[in-house]
Amino acid sequence: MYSFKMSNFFPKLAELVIKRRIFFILIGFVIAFTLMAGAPNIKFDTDARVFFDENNPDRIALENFEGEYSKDDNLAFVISPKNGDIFTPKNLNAIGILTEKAWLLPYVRTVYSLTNYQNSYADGDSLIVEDLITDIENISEEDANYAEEVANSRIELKNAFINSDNSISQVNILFRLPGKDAIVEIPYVMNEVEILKKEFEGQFPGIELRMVGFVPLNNQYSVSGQDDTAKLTPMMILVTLIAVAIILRTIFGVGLIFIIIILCAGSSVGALGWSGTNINNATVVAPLMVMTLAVASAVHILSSIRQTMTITPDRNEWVRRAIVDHGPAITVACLTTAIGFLSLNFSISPPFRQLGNIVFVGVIAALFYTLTMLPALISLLPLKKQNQKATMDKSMSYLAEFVIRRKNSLLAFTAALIAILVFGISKISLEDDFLRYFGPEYELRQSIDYYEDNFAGLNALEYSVNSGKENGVNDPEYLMKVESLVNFLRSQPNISSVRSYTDVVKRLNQNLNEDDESFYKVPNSELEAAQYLFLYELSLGYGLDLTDQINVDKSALRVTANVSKTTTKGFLELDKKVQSWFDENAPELSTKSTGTSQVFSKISSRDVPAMLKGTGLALIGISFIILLVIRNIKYGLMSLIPNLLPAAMAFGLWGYFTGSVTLAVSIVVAMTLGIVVDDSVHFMLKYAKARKEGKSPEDSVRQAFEKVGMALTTTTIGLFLGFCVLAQSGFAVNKDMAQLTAITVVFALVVDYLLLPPVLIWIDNLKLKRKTS
Amino acid sequence: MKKIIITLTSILTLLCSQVFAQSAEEKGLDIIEKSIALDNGFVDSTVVGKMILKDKSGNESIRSFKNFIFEELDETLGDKSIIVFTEPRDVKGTSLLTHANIEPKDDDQWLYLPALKRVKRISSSNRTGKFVSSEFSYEDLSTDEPEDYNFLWLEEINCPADQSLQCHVIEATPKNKKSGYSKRVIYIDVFELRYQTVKFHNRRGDLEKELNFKSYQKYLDKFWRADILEMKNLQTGKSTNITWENYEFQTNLSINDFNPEKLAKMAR
Repeated sequence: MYSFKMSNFFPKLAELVIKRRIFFILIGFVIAFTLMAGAPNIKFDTDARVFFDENNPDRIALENFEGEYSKDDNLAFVISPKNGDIFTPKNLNAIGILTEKAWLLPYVRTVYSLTNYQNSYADGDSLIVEDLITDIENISEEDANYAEEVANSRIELKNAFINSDNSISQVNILFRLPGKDAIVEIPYVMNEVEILKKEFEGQFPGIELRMVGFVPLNNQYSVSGQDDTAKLTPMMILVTLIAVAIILRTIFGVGLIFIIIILCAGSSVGALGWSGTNINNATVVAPLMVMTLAVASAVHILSSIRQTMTITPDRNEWVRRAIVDHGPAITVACLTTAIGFLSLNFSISPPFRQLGNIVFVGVIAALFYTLTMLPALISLLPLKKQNQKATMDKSMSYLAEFVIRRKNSLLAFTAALIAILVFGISKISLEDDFLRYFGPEYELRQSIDYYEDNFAGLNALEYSVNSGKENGVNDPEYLMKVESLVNFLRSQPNISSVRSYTDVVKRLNQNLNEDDESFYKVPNSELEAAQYLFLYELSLGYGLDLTDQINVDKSALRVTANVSKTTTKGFLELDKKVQSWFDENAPELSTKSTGTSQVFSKISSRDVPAMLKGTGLALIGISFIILLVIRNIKYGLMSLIPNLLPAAMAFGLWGYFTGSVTLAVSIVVAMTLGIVVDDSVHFMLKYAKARKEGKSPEDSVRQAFEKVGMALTTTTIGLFLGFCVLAQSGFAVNKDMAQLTAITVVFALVVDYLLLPPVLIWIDNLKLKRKTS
Repeated sequence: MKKIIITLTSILTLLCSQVFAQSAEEKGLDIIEKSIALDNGFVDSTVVGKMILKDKSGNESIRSFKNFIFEELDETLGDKSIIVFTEPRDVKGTSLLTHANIEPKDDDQWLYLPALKRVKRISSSNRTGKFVSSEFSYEDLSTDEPEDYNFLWLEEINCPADQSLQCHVIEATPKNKKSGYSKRVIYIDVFELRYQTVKFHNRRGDLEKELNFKSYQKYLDKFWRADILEMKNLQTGKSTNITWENYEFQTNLSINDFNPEKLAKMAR
């Protein structure tokens, strides 16, 4: 049934392994340890942007924007006094102290807070620009009341430095990370931040302190990646080994499997280390996936051995049969899986490409170890002979009978089920809120939710509104247009706050005209605007400037709109509204939005088409292998049904129950294709073989169930459990991917058992009927 | 016994005071005071300054201005100065008058805005802020008042920017907590007591900026002035250079020219 070469290859391999068993054991360990030696080079990435390729257009736009203004590597201390009032002398003093101490953190660029807000006002013929709280050590009740009055009258402070009911404030620290080695810099900063936080909490027990921002978020990427490793690895090993113990009922076999999966996972991680790539939140699950996939291969060998040992005590015969009978199936399974993962290289997101390559190495390693080292170990070590036959085979024949008897109703039932499920795909929405990639069990996530529930939005739409000429930001006509953009943004219900220099220039105009409120507007002339700006820049306090608001040649202003509690869809729709505002009101100023939130909001919709290409190619590659193995175009084409449907059904189910899905959505089909294809290939192979031997379609189905039913069931259970473990990840992308894969694997079995046999019987009977008529 | 101890102590004290005739603190203060004193008597000066601001990627922007300085003879007051900006064009004529005061009293400052045609008194508690968005703060541009710092003489080495010269290295720690720096390290050449290099350490204590004084020239046979000031921010990669041209001394400015009411006239 396999090609001539292939049918010769495995018996030869079996003999070679038996003859050179010591060599294969040693070479296996040597290869594994050589690869694993690369593992110590691996570091955890601390950057949310690992998901963006260097040539991702959104990332390029963002980095240009940051080059023009600044990169918001920030950390915001969220200050919630238990008495619910920011404006008491004590609480203001606390904010002032925190502000001053924050200046002493490493790499600080600027600290913005309520107390150092640059309050400008007219005093007779004087213009004062000073900190809102000028002397934090001596704050009187009057000072506090004055600060409250000012803060509540400044639109730029509301929902930015105080929330709607004056119960929460924040100190926003902007860092200028050297960017030489983020892996060292961010934890270094966070370490000092934690010390400062503890010190503050000790000094001010009446104030709750939380942290949000990009620096803790990036730090979380490394923390939760390490958490995942620490939590999931032992869980994965335990679940795998228990499952194997139940299936095989041999402690010795469990030991062997343990060795094999450790070597496979170690080899894959080691290869990553040698390639010099850092590990990140998405790739951290790769070695665990390798374990799950390796178990499937190893179990095939071991269950074959278990079967053979009831027949003969000849150890070499066990090994020979295992390799000859199961070698081809294992090879096909590993190769198709490897192709599926290799196709992840089409993803636009580097971690997925890395994930694909790591698992690729791991699966190829698994193929090698299970076909050489594992049998060599079995033939060498004293594996106890057992006579007891494994169970489950009986239940398979019951299932076969059931499927054959109820074939018509099953066909109708599964077809209906599939139709209903697949419809659910339409309910799926892409949701990449990078702030919520981390589960609610993490403190940072709780702080983020708290902040958005009680304070303001953390996702931000950023615009660089270009006047088209140097010093153009002082042109009153331009300023008025930016002002009306700001007003438009402020009228949107989802937008909690907007930051723009236009507020400053309006305030200055008022201040320079004796605080006459009718002058709270854009200045009349360009010269006025330019000189106000100049004056303001002359007056700013320590470390403060407008470089993150106005670009270097003063041709463009930055407008930042914070969006609270929104979905990716809502976020993008908001941007669309802004774009149509530009079209209608100021087409010459029109500019695309940018910002980290924007880049994430686009990533899934960019990756899906890219991965469709990859998935298509994987499908072609895998189909080619199927055809090579089945050598029958009709069965080959039919095998596409059970291979493509499961992922579609899984997505549909997801659509009904969860709805939103992260970036993981793009890679699941390609990933699962290679995994689930094995089931159908094996089933079809046995079926085709029986048909060739002249059996009826029904009997062929019976035979297929008997021969491979148990193996398919056990591998599916193993894979399902493995991916359920991965679904415990605290990182949404991994979680979604693992859950979708787990569901897909189960649906694959359902389709293979309940849909494929009736279809096969139906089509073949149709042909038979046509022949007879 | 008691006598012996007293004698010993007094001998030791005597020895010490002779060996360390001057403590490191005193020596530092002494050098700074001498350096400042050398400048006494210039009466007034005018000079044209050009400031070139460069960012990390080399983008430049230019500020030009004329600077008038009037020497204040009263020890309890600082000098008076006027800066009249000529570039960028849209701020041409904008003028800043400063009456320096000894800390902790803030300087008095007035600003003339040609667009408003009015003189405004402005707050100047923000001495640590950036001067016209450059890498210089007001603090960096004003003359050291010895009373504001604790000085500590560290050593004598080759000057960092000019190895042919010997420099005193003096650490100046501000007494005012509001200073933008935890300390400055000043390099003063031993021959003429001119500031050669100043290294600024930020509030955290990390080295943040470095200022080099270049092309010193002697005016009126007495007063040293550096034609070029190069300030580099080591953390951001930004830099600001000031070149001074057309120094003139004793130009018959009067104290009345430094009156806020006169600012509009001076701006022309």
